[in-house]
Amino acid sequence: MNPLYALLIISTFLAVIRFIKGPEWADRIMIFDLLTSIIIAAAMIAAIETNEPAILSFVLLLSFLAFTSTLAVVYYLERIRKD
Amino acid sequence: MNFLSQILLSIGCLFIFLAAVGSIKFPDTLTRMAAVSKSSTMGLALICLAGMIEFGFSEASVQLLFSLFFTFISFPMVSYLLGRLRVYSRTSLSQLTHRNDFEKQVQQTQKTNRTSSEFSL
Repeated sequence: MNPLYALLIISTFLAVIRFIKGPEWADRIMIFDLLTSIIIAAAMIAAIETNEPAILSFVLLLSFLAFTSTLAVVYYLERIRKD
Repeated sequence: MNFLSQILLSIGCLFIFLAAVGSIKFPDTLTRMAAVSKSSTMGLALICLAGMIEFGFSEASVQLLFSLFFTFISFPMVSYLLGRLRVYSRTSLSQLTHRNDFEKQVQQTQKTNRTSSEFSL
């Protein structure tokens, strides 16, 4: 096991604390981005350890998905708050 | 495992950990957003570079190049949209913020064309 997983698990706990506590929805959207980047980092560590480049398509897919979902939620919140 | 890619992975994971610490410790939505967006973009860039060094010149490194490019576009755009969202939801700022230009601009444009309902940037 790579010891870098421990760092990622600790940062997941910190991010989830802010996700529960966060007073704004903007905080929660931002934390969603951070959690996605943590998942990408863990997938990359797994791909490098097992030497299997098939996992890396997951990285590309996840970066697209995070961007579109975050954009949709921000657009929805902005339409609500403007009125 | 390559030595250089191991070092790059460590630095990238350290940047992501610092982003999580910043999201806990900072007092305001805008400062938290600055900490998280900048350092997690940097961490993802370093991690993608580590993967590109590890797998050499192949399909996988082309995929990683695409995802790196997309990360550099998407994360700053999301942080910009979140800053715009804060202006519309009118939450209070912390004492650390000195300049507030965009909110003045929004208020002026809302005063000048109050008749038109749609405010476009």
